[in-house]
Amino acid sequence: MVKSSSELIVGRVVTTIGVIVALFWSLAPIYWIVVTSLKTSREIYAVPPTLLPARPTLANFATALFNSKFPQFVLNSATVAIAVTVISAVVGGLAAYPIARMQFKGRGVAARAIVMAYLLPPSLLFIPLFLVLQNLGLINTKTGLVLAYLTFTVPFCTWMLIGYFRTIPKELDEAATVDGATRLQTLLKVILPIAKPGLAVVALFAFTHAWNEFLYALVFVHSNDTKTFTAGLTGLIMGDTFIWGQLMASSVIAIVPILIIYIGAQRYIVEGLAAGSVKG
Amino acid sequence: MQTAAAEAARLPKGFTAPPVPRRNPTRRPDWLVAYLFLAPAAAIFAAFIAYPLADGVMTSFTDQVVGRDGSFIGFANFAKLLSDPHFQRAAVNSLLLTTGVVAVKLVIGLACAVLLAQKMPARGLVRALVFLPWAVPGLIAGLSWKWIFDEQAGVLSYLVLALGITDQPVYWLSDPRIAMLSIGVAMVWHGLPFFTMMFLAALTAIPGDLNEAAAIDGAGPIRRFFAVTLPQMKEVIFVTVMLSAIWTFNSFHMVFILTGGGPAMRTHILPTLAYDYGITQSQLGLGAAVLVSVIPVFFILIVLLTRRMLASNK
Repeated sequence: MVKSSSELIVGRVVTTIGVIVALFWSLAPIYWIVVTSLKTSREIYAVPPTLLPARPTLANFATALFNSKFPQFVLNSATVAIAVTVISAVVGGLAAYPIARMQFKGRGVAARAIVMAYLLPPSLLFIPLFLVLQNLGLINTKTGLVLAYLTFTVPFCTWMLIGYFRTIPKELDEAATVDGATRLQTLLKVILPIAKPGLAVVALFAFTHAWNEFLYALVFVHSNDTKTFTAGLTGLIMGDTFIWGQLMASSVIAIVPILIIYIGAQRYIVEGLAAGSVKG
Repeated sequence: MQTAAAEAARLPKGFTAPPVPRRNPTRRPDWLVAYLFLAPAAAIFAAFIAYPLADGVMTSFTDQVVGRDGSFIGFANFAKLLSDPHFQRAAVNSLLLTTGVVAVKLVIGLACAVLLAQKMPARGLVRALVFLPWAVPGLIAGLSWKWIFDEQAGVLSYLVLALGITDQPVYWLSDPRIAMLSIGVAMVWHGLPFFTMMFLAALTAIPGDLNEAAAIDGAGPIRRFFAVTLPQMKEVIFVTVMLSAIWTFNSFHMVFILTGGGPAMRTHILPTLAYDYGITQSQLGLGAAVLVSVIPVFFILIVLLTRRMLASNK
């Protein structure tokens, strides 16, 4: 088809303006976090605000890293997130295989339960879950927090892996079965090696969710050796004074691991989103 | 149709048939294996999803407080909530915020997806940067906007005064009506990339021939978008909107960080009100009742969405 040159020019101008607006909207708040983290506390409150730090300083980062409990909180977050990731990948992989591949009574019910559990928002569950963890003596423990996160990550990983497993040709399983492999051997030696990229994406999402989660961390843990960084950061904002420099520096530090994951796996993440729909 | 031999050739390197005799008579039946595989997931589901949910419903009929078992008080918590102005306001806030934010994300998300589908230099980089807010932890997104909306030293307060948009300070977070809008803006910022990504993936999957045929028939780009492209995106729009409605309703962190439900409890949404009653004020029974009161709405949403998602993953 032929487009008139005026139509092309209008299209290009609209696209350019759109891209500039979209980039500004998406990046300005992130830029403001970074810039604030590099300012002295006097400059942070200066009027008019400075677009670039007049005297850039790493003092806020030094305070966050060496003079606060923040590193401990980050370590707690990492411990919890890694445990959640490993357990959800294993439990999710095991549960996804029979639903994707086997015929048994209750398969439809299991699939439905998994999707519904995945869609159930944590904000509906936090009070009853608080009571359950309390009865188990798991309030204010990392174990309790890991268990709480599994309520979201296991259904999610299972759901995503069902989709990935279904893309693998059934004949492969059948060939393995004919050769005498058990179902577990088939899953471990045939399916998982092929589903590795899918497994990686699912693990990344489980990690990100556990790393970013706030509500359960706020309600279920409260001491320095159990608090994750999200709950820990609110310690800097709950009072009347807001320690913005330190808050923003801590935020920058906490975003870095997620950003590395995100940039490294961006292509897979977008594919994964399209395939299974991920919490945003 | 591929043959079994061709499939076998695609087996991973190093795979050799396990040395198990064919038709092993002691082999467990398939259904038992399936149940064993599902057992860990089922245990987590039963202990930490199904049981708490049932327990939460039970708790909502008690006067339980932190540290003491409650006694059954029937519908007293629900009766109290119905006449509680804070609950009414939180319910209205939840409804308006969820519908408003989802509607805005839908329209702008579609526009962004169309924009990012255009040919442009460094398209991959532009897409990655536009998606960036999605990678920011929700709490940090909330903190960042809290700082932007700061009424003394915030950049937005300075900008509107400096640009002469207003000559009076704007109470971004302390005037309840403006605060709900501010919360909405922050939620749109954080949630928009999800819509854009979903729609962009759907857009690029639509075959171009229908669109070209419509163009040859003389339909302009806007007409083509509404008549040809949009109908083909119905399914993804439905799923995205429903998922986002659930999560937007669930955006506890934004309200908690930006206003904490104040001033005078006027910007609460239901999850933050439940936190305030159940955890801050230790009235677990009443807090649970706030959550239980929205279960019917969620049940309908979740059942509808579950059906669609199961159908699409067949």
